[in-house]
Amino acid sequence: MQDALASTRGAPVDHTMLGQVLDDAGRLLVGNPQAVRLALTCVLAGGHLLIEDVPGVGKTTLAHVLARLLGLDFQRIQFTADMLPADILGVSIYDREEGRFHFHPGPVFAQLILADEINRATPKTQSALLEAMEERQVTADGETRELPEPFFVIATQNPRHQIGTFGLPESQLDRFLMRISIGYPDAAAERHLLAGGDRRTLLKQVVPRIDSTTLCDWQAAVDHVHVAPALLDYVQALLHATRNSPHWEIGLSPRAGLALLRAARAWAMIEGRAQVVPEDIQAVLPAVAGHRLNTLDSDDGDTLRTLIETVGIP
Amino acid sequence: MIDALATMPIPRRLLIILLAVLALMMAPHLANLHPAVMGLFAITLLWRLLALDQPNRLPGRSVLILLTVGAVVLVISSTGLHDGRLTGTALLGSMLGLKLLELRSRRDVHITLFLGFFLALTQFLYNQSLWLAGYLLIGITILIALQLGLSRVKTDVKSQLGAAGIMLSAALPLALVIFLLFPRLHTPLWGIDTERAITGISGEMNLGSIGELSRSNAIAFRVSFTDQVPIPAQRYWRGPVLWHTDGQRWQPGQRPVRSSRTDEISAAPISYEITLEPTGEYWLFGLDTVTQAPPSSHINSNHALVGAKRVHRRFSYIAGSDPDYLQLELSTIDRQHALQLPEQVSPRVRALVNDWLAETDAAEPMQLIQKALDYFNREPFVYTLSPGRLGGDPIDTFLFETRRGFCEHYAGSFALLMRLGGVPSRVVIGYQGGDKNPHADHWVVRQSDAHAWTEVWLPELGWWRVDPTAAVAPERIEQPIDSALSQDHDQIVFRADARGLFGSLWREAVWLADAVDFGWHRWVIGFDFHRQRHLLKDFGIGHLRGTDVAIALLVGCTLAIALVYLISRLPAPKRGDPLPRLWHKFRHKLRRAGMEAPAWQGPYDLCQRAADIFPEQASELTAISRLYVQLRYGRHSDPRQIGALRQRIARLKLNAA
Repeated sequence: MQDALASTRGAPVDHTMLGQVLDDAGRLLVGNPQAVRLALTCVLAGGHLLIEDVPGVGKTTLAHVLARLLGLDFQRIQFTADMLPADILGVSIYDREEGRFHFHPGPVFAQLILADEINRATPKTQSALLEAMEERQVTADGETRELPEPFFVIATQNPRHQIGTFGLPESQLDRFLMRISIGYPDAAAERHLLAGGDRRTLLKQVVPRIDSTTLCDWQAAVDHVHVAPALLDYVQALLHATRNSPHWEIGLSPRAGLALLRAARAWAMIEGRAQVVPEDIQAVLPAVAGHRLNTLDSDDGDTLRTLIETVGIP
Repeated sequence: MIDALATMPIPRRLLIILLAVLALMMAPHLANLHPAVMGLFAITLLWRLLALDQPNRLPGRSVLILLTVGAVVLVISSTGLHDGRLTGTALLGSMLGLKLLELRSRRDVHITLFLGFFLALTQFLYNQSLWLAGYLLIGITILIALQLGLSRVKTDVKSQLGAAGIMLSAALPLALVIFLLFPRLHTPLWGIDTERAITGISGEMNLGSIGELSRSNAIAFRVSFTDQVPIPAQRYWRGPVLWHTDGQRWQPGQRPVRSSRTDEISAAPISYEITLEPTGEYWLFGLDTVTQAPPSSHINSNHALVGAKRVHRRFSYIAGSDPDYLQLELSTIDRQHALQLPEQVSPRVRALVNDWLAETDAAEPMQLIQKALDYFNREPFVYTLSPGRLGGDPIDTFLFETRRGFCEHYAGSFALLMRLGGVPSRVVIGYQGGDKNPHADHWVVRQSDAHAWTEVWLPELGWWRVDPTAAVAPERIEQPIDSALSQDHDQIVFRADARGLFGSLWREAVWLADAVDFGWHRWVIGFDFHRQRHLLKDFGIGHLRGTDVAIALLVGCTLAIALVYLISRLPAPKRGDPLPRLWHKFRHKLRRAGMEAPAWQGPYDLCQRAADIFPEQASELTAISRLYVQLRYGRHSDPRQIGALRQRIARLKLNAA
């Protein structure tokens, strides 16, 4: 399999290094290896991640660990109701001595940003971040400034306390490649967590496995994972099924289809494959499609599982 | 405007194929046309072949005119003018040959091709067999392909043949409609009688004549029973009845008259259709005793079936019979005829009968019959196809010296013995037995089933069938004779069921060919007015007349054309990808082995699950999933690997641990 990977065009991917990143992350984030893997997939696919969960399950830790392992500089933005776009993007301040304005970059100018409780901010502030996510550049005072490369946002929101919050509209949700939840760890993992030392101390011990240049190479390599026509048929069948299903208000858009393919490519790369197989699509589908579909029933995780099990692989 | 194509040279290959196919289309006429006509055609064909590269070798206009006159003279002198069909065909053939000599432009080739179609048609004037039709269909397909090639700048034999095939099949529905609906004549369309040398029973019986016939395996007739099939002992197919004998030969004697009692005869428990091969005679065969005659034929006073015309071509008729029917009429004149004796009867024969008469009651002819049958049965009589020379008094020599004979020897001598004993008797010739074609619902009666038997007059029962052959060789009645083997053996050899694998295969093939040939005759050649009415009645339109038929034809043709048009508009069927089918097969195999194999599960997941259930095959399952993924989802899939995957899936045996 590694040979197959090496044979793809673009920079060769050192799969052992990829494996080490996963192992290290898994050691620190006990409990939900699937979430860790999906988060890494999201990074490799160059998309942004929305984590929807209650506090204290390790959202911040996940962001921290990923930043350190991948050698990215990290910024955390705690969203509040009185926050202004400038608090995120940065401000120009007049320098008297030089007699001109100086731009002071905001926290958004980092490679990995944790946007905590994004739904607490006003829509205006939210959209400032979301526009930056989409454009990967910031325009302030008529000047456009490129954001660092790579640029990756992990936003969190708490689904429980909705009072005084501004839920992200569908169009904004679409900016996130995936939405995952971490969930409570199982008993064994929780015990391990309780028995272990302080997360903060542990975090400091994390050694970066790669630097941001390697990450960019990896992201570029994702494009070279092969998608066969037969697989496109499968993706189309899945999209078609969501559009004809009574479970959702509206089906998945073509953009969602592209996102699905991109995520599946990254997943296949983590799995060490040079081509996407239906299993890859199935693995990323709930995370990619969940927040893009307006569920009419109560639990969407299950309906997506049912969707997979009703669509035969052509 | 000049057609650019018309000025282009004719491809050399096209000309060669044209000459070859014309030779093929002409070849069957070897059996019909005068050798001189065939020779002329061959010469012109060869001439054209030699002039392929040097057109200046072709004759000039004046030579051609001379040749044409010569050809007409040749046709008239060799074939004559008495048979329009022969003369016409000969003329067409030789003119087609001469046309080849002035084959220069594309227009000439077009004319030759049309003449080729006509040539094919003339073959059907002589022979309407399925085999010839198939042969000519091949030729016609090539002719159409050549026509297509002639109108194309670039020629490609394969695509032209394909297009010709498509054109022919597109014409099929229309042809079928016209075949079924076009008003039919009362006689089959191809009903042109030809007198040919025919093997079959003749109107009289010489000692040895039926034995000679039995060597032939040719088909005499085919029978389809409507529902009841008679038992083998009742399968006597009655032909001419013979009254007069000169000691060696049996002849009809008095001319039989139309039976006066035909009207009374009506009950017919066994109904059947006979398709008779040409006999060249008036009589028809029917199961003994015929009680219902087909239209245009009658039952004569001998209870034999007589047709209105000599049978010169295959002819089908429906008749009915009653095996238990009693023929109770015997006029005084008939009685005299039935007791007629040859001029010379040897004293030994007379003494034999007198001995029997002394031992039996004269009022009980049955006792005399039994005596005679016992004689054949007890004395060392041999049933054989090679009875040897019988000399001056054949009956005497047969009865007392050689004692070797075929059915006519037994039937003839038995009838004579009865007459000597004062019991009226006569000889009936026809066929006995028949084989069922295992691939069709008809029976075949062959020349080797030809038979002669005797009828004696009993006061109570009328004409009573006695088959003396049965006293010598009872198997004859149950089993057909193996005509090929019997010639080499001293005694008759009866057909066993199969002789080895090759023998039985060969027999199967022969039966199959017979079924196809008979079906062709029944439904294509023999599709006449009556059959058409019958068939249309089944569709509820049997009553159509005049304009109705025209309307039906018009509607049918329109529908046929619409059908072809609709079919042509259908999207071409997608060439199926073998991989999904293979995978489907694989999943089916897993399901047969007892595990669930849903269509939504990916190949790796599925094989992993299968490997958990069938751990012994884990490595093989992994190999299959990898190969499949590589082929179906991989970047560089090698189609040659499909065969390897197919093999692996086929070889996979799943045993649960």
